[in-house]
Amino acid sequence: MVNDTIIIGGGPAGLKAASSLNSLGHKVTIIEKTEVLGGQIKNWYKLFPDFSDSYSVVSNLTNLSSDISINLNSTVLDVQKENGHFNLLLSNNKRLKGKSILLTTGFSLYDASKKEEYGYGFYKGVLTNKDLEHNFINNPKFIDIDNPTVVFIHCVGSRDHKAGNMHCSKVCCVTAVKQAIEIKQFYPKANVYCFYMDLRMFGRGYEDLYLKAQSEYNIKFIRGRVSEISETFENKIVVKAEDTLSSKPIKLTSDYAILMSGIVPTKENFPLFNKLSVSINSSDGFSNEPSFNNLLNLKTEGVFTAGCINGPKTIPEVLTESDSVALSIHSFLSR
Amino acid sequence: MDFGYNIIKIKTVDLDRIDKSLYNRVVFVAPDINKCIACGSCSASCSVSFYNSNSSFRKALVAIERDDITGIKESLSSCVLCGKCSLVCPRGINTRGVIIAIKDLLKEEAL
Ligand code: SF4
Ligand code: SF4
Ligand code: SF4
Repeated sequence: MVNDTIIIGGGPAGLKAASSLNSLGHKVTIIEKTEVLGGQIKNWYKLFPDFSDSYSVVSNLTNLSSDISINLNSTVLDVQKENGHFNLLLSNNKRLKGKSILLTTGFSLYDASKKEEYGYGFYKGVLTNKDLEHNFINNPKFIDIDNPTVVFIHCVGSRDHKAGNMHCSKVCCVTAVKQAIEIKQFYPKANVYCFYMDLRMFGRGYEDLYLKAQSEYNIKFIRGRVSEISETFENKIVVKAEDTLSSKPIKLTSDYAILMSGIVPTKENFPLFNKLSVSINSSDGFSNEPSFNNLLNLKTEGVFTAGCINGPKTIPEVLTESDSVALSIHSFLSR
Repeated sequence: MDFGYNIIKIKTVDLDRIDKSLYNRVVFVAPDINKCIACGSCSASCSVSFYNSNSSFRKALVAIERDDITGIKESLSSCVLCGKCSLVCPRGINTRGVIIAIKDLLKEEAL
């Protein structure tokens, strides 16, 4: 049987589009490479800016109608277009046929160990934003003292030509502020610092969160990009930067440094994108360069994209984009 | 005695060793200073900064956090308490009031 839409990627973007298309009466199949649906927010404890439970957002999204078929642990090995239909071969040898394809393959987190000056993977006290969320979920009291010093390091692998990423990952400033507040909630006596270049508090409620971090939680914001991290004999983490507001070098010994790994495109998916003639931006590696008059700007008829495949986004933005792309697919299918 | 070398004061701000007592006392009387976003509106509007570029409430706040007494004195010494800075602060900090409080605390320190 022929699917109306085959959705590749079972994260928030794919799930939202699947239920929207399903409620518009279309036959939808989801292909997901891991063993569960939900995407990367499964790894998150709470979401900015209102500390919503990530778990409840995921369970809401994965609560799908039984009309939607789901292929877990599957990747796409091959795709051919024949008589206006897409023929897919999956890694489990299953074959699927569809009238349209929606790519919601998401993003990857920047591999922080590539920034060798920060010592991720070498120093026990250097964690990423994702590691910290993992600890919040599994063992929030992972620090064995009640007054730890915790330093948040913004823009790790983002806004960094040398790391190959010119772009701003957009969501990590507010993530750092959210996580800094959570540290203060678990450890009220903690000393918490954020080292930033700019604080990009663009969204609704973010600036309020920043003000709260300053005035209620006494989190200290230091303007300067961290230049290097080292470790003392006692396994403490030494952070160095320039305090650009006073034009002096600054240094601080801490128990943990949390790296704000950025949002980067998933390069493993590029061969698939190429097969479907989905454009890849030469500067940031994300797909789909929208113009004001052509938001979807797609090259192959019947192929659509939504979510962080098109660049860094917040969850509400992803959900809105998915709904909007579902509408475009609907009009494509109804032609 | 001249040993042929000088001892240079380290210019790095070492947050591990900083004395936070002055900062804590200022925050106690003026908790609003934590809301500063270092925008520089106060310094830009300052009646005196045109003549003395060191005159800057923004710099004074950083200096307090870094326990840099010279910096605080430099940035506030020519203040005429006109209150223009209070009018422009986007975070609504009563900057003039804070300056008076800091000057009082520094006077106490000196005694
Ligand atoms: S959102 Fe903030 S931390 Fe993230 S890349 Fe942009 S400026 Fe850096
Ligand atoms: S009160 Fe002092 S710091 Fe503020 S504008 Fe007047 S002179 Fe400048
Ligand atoms: S105007 Fe207010 S927020 Fe801006 S630097 Fe001065 S005190 Fe800080």
